[in-house]
Amino acid sequence: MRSRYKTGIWIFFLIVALLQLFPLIWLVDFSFNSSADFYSDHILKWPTDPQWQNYKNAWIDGKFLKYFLNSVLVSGVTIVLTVVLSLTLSYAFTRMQWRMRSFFFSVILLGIMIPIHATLLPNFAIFKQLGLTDSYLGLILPYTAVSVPLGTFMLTGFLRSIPKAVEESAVMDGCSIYRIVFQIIAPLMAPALVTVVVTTFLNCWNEFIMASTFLSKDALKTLPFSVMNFAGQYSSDYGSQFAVMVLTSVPAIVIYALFNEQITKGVTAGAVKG
Amino acid sequence: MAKHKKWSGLTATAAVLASVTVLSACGNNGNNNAAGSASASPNASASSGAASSGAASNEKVTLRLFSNLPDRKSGQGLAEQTVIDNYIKENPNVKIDVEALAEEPFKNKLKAYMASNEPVDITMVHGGAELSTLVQANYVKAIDPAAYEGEQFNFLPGVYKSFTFDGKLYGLPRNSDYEVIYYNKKLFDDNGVKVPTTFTELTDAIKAFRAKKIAPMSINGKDLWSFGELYQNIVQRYSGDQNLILDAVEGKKKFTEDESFLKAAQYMAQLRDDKLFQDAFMTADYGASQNLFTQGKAAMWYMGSWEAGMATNASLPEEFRNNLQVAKFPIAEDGKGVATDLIAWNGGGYALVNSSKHPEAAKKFFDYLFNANQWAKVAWDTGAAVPAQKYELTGKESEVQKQLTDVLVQATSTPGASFIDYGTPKFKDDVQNAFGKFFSGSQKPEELVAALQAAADSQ
Amino acid sequence: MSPPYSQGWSGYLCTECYAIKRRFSSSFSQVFCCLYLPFWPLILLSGYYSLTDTLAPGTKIHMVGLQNYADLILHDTRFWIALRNAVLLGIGFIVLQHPLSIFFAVLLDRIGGKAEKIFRTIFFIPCVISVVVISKMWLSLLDPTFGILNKLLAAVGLESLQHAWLGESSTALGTMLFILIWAGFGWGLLFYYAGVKGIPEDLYEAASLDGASGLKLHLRITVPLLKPVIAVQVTLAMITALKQMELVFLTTNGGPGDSTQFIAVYLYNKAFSASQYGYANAISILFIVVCLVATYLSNKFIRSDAAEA
Repeated sequence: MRSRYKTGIWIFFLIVALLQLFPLIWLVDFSFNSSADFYSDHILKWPTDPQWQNYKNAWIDGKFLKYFLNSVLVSGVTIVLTVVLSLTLSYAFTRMQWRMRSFFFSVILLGIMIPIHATLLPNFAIFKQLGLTDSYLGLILPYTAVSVPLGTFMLTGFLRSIPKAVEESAVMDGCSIYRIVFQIIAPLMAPALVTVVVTTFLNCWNEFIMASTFLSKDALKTLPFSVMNFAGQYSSDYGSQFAVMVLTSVPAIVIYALFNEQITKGVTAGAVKG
Repeated sequence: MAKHKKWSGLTATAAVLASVTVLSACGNNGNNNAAGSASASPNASASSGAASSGAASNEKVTLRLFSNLPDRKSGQGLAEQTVIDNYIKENPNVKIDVEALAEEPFKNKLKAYMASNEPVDITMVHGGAELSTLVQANYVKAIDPAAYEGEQFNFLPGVYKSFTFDGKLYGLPRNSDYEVIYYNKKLFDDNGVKVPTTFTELTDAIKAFRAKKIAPMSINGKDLWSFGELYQNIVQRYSGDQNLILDAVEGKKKFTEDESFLKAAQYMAQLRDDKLFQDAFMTADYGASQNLFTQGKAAMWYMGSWEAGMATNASLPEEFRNNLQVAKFPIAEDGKGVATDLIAWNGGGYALVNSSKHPEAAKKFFDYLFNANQWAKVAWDTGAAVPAQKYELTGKESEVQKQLTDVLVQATSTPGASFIDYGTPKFKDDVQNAFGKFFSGSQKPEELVAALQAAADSQ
Repeated sequence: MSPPYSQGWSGYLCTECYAIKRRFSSSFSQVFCCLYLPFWPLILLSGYYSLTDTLAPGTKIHMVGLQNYADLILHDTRFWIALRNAVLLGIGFIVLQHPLSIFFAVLLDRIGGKAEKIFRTIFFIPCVISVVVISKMWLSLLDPTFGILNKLLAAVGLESLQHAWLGESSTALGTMLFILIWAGFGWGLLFYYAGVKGIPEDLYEAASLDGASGLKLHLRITVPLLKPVIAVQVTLAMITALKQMELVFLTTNGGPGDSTQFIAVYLYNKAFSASQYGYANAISILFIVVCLVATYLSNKFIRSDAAEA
């Protein structure tokens, strides 16, 4: 009875998983086909003559490697900044008593609510004045600004669930505030930090509106932009467009596969306690 | 409310007609096809030499060009790049950085550049409503029309209309734009359908293709502007008056009063209800609508003359290219317009930017670009577009190019402006939105006309 | 000590540098908070522009007072349609995505073993795909000419159900919801799964001794215990719905005929395509207000909920 029940779930899940992954399978499949094949009647088409040319186009004309490295750099720095800021902020909000604490907490949380697109034009004008357009910083700053509120929000919830006893003894021993936050609290918060890292990563990795507005120099552009522009360049070649989409998706999937366990742990720990 | 400044006086029809006569000479030569052309064209080497000489400094300069042509390997993008390469060859001290974005991102980024006074040197601009905003922001530089007279440039008369504001010229047009119907001859022949010359034949063609499960016409509905051109075309076919719709935009006439507007809306409703366009036309952007047509899945494509390059684009299926033909927009049986009335204007062009860091070098390249033997010649020879300057027929033109030339040469009247670009940007947005609503729902023709009037009133 | 806002954030930063030495615990945090002050000039600037009819930054500025707001609230049906769409989308999330996520979370918890891990991983994959890719992919999948959905429908003899999906007013918003659920389902699942994992097994055992089973068991135990998670998720769902931008922008751009119009898209197009910069700023101020009200309301909801628990 119990095992039949489980087999039922198994089959059900298998069907759902297939349906869910099907679009991606289709994407990969047709990235190996020529444009003419798109209009055939096949639902999936085995590429008898795999169009490696599509991937060559994507790699060379899509300037994949260059954009990829830019994306890595921008996302990487943003993640570090976000983690440090959200960690320290959440510590200050949960553990320290200070004037206007709740006011500032609301200010930060409002950051989640502010629609970033509403600030695009004034932002561009101000960045221009500061000489930040056409630099990595021009993306890293707004990305961090958007990620920190969410990160702080997630971390404060988690931090509240950690008993104060640990730090109290550390304070008795005369630990500095920085040691407490980075050496004692941070390891305890590892799962929640991983969640922040991954959400931040996904947000930066996928953002394109600011990327296309703030950057002009080709040498600085990031991956989603390449998908957008490639579609303009190869508008009549769906196969190549699909190839560049596949290439863009692979790194995110790989990163996810690597951190999969930690993400689940992080979310689980946070949800149970928070 | 700062009233939007109208560019140049209205009735340029006379000038445009003159332009057509000028061009006829050229076209007739083309029809003979034997020799190149007798129409005066500047000596190539002489004029390019003239352009590259003067202000001969060897100081290294990097110019920034902002373009809406991301595909640098075919069509207009290739033509633009060719001119740039030519210039760099002649001026080794100059480097030209091209930033090219697809149409929609391009427009948005240009706004951002304008907002921050970005020192681009030369930018592509869309004449009319969009350029007027750039002019008001003092982003683009006024140029002297007198400097572009004569044979070195050979501009057709009347082409500055969308680039002139308050009597000053702010840019030069690169193409003669006009709407035609591209069609796939094989699809018409195979299914025994007649290429429509009248509105009734068009509706018959729709039924015939729909019965065969072929999309009769492809259109880039997501971008919305094609609906505007279509409407202008149909209105003209009923009224026979090119200026009627422009007058309505300016408030001299009313959309709700002249019956041509309502008749046109009624016919559009019929086209909509008969399913003239492909099934997902409201989500089709430019590329998607083109693909549908080039892959032989739609019989017609309503698009501008700048797509002449399709016939020579090797990445398109050969069968398609061999069957590509151009047709004039059909006429209304009960209308006053004739088939040779052409909806033509000059949309795209280039402008110099005020905040440029190298104004002189930029101007030099700008002049070079518009030299009659540069953009105009390259664009025509490669089949990328129909220039706004006099061009020579080389005798090697594709069938499509010849047909496009014929359409222009035979034109008996043109409006010189596209009505959606004739008002403020807000007007354009409102009008396009009205068409979007109309084509995606079941709005009545009266509602469309009322919405157009409301848009004209509130600009 | 009250923070001297008027000096701008950089001035504030300097006074605080001194304070760090004095009282690090308080300054430590205030300094970082102040890094957020740059956001406010942006909003103030927006507020200022919203009172003008300027075409774009850099053009002539002409004050029109509250005219933009009056037009927006009283006459602009497109704005209200955009807001309505956001609410409909939010309701869609709450009514469809969340129960679905909870259902899967419970099943996932029940299945156990290796399968639990495998399926948990698979269901999350769409969440890591870039929105640029998602929108282009779904546009192709749903294309009536070469997309597969209509081919599949034809294959099983359901031609009558074929649609242009994103291209028809009647189906566009629903299709958008479907794509968003496809892409975001994994997140919801993960959070609810975590919640379900936190429910002690003996509660279920006790309840089943009382004779509860199946759906009833879950309605009595799982759902009430998940309430805090549900509250947070519902807030986030409303925010996501309100701030919806990228997918719409890349697929329908608000069309056909405003049927998928959202505030962020509308405001973007007003600012960029229609050159109504002043008006667009009025939209963005109102947008922020709407977002704040929505958060306030759901916060209240969470608080009262937490009090119960």
